[in-house]
Amino acid sequence: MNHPNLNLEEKDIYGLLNGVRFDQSEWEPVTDEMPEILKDKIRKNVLKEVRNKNYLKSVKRSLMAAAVLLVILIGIGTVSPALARNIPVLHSIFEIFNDKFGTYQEYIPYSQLVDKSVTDNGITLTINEALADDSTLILGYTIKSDSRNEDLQMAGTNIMGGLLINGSSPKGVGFSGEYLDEKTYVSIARITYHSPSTSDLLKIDLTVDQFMGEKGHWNFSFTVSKTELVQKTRVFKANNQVDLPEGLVTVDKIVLTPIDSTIYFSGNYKDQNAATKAMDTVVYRWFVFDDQGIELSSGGGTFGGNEAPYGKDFQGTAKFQAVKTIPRSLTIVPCRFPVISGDSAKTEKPSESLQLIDGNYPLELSQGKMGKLIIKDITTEKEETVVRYTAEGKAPYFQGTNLYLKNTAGEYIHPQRYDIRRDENSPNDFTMVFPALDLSQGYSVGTSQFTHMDFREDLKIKIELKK
Amino acid sequence: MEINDTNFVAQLKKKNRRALEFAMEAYGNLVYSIVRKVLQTGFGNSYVEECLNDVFLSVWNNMASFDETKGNFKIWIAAVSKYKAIDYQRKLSKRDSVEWTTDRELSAELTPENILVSKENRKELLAAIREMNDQDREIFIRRYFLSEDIENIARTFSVDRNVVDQRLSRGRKFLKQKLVAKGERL
Repeated sequence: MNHPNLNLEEKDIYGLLNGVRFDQSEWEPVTDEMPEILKDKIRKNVLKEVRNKNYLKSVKRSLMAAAVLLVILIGIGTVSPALARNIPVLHSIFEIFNDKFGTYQEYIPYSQLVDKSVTDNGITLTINEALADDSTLILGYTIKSDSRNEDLQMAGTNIMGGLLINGSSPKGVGFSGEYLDEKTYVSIARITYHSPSTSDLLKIDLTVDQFMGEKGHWNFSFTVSKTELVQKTRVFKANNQVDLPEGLVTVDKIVLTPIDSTIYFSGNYKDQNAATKAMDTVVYRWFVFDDQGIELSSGGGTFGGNEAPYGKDFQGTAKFQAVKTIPRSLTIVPCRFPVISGDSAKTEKPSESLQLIDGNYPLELSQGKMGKLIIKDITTEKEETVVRYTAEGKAPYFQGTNLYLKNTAGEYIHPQRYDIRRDENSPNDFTMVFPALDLSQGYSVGTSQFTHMDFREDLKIKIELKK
Repeated sequence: MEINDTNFVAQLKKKNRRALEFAMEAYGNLVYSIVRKVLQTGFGNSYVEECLNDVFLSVWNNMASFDETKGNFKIWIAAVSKYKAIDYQRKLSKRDSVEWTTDRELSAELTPENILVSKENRKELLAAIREMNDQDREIFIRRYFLSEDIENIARTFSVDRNVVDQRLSRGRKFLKQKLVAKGERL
């Protein structure tokens, strides 16, 4: 018998199954007993699956902790589009982003022009440019719609479902995006991939058959050369260990490329069950500092047990920003964070520092054990309100990401973007940009006290980068 | 924290893996017997195992869909198991090209040929199902999602099978009207 092919999603159907009194005599009393061997197998399979998935989620969550602390509180995903930006010609998305946020400079010299467009059903998808090294592919792309469209942002993140790199699906994708005008959205996707191919060319196939409800065909096939970046890639073998309460982690190697820095690690749990339990409540984030003590901003990572080398329970990568020159050493400090679920974030208000914006600067905001933020000034010019500030303390970049504004009702004001702009010459000075605000209306500036964060300096390791 | 009968549902919703282990232990036999009944004849044990995995993963991934105010967990997981097993059966039948008795009364009006509900319009469809009156909705779900016998359904509601037939037909018409009204392609 068929159930209707109504294209409902599973979660909808499970919702409809609530309280349905279907014939219990069909299965009651339960006389079948699941054989022990099968029970064991199912338990292992299911828990393994759940663990891997969850772990990825946790790691992603911890690496994004800065944003998460803020975003979860505000409710995810409603950053209002910055409209009508008057950028007449689209040169390079990397350049546009770099001009605005200053974090994409390293991409520009390695960017390869793809410039392929497909239009169907009034929607044009253009892959503008790309670059790649051995583990990261970066795509700059544009979505243009015939009419004003607020779903472009969502569509921008959805299209990567049909992406194949050398025939395999990516390991993870992170996005940054921006409305150029009401009908145009530009985005950069950072894609982590793994391919055993030794070829210098990556074969990219992108198949999109649905876009914001419109069916159609937006298919792309092109190659990206990784030669230039691979030639400039430096690999440093390491063998440093971090003894965490849950497991022993070994840093195996560090790979520095002009576009990012990757730490490869692997390890064993001390007690798998205890570690599994701990994963529900705690996540780790690694803070990385160069030999000048400058914190490198983090950019995602992977974690899993499936591809762990022989004798290891798990392996993973942690990605950070690129270094301009090769430092003599890198220092890693692990930090424990409690897992914040969406529910508890709504109810448990973390302790914060809040100061009224009254035109007098500097304003000092304590961040507890971590340090403090010093607000140098807040100004409204043209269409933006810009907060300029310095972070002092243990992990200044991370601290710097945790700044927010509230109105008199205590509601958070969404920044234009959650990325902060870092001053190139003074790396602990930052700017965060908000939509234009009338500052006489009693806004406050705030940050977290990081009471739940456990910055484990006692576990820090220093990795010498020898040739 | 100890996981027990009283807290495992809340803990499952919070993605506590120990709560999942608890549910697998407590409801393993129930899920097994439902899945086995649907799948064993003709499809063999390997699919039973796959489907069991799938049921527990679905429960884990879709706990947010479980509504404690509408019924207990045991009945919900039983319904999820039955639904999953039927879904497997359907896919396997298709794959093996075995002619499977299709529900004619359904295919007459509610197949993709007649009603094209695109994925992006599922919200409207869902809303339409939710708008049905309680009894019609339950009959509809039990019949079409859980493949229950019309006789059985009639027994639960203490009515004649003709009444169930009428209700099903009414449900289909209701959906059709709703969807037409909302501009779905028919």
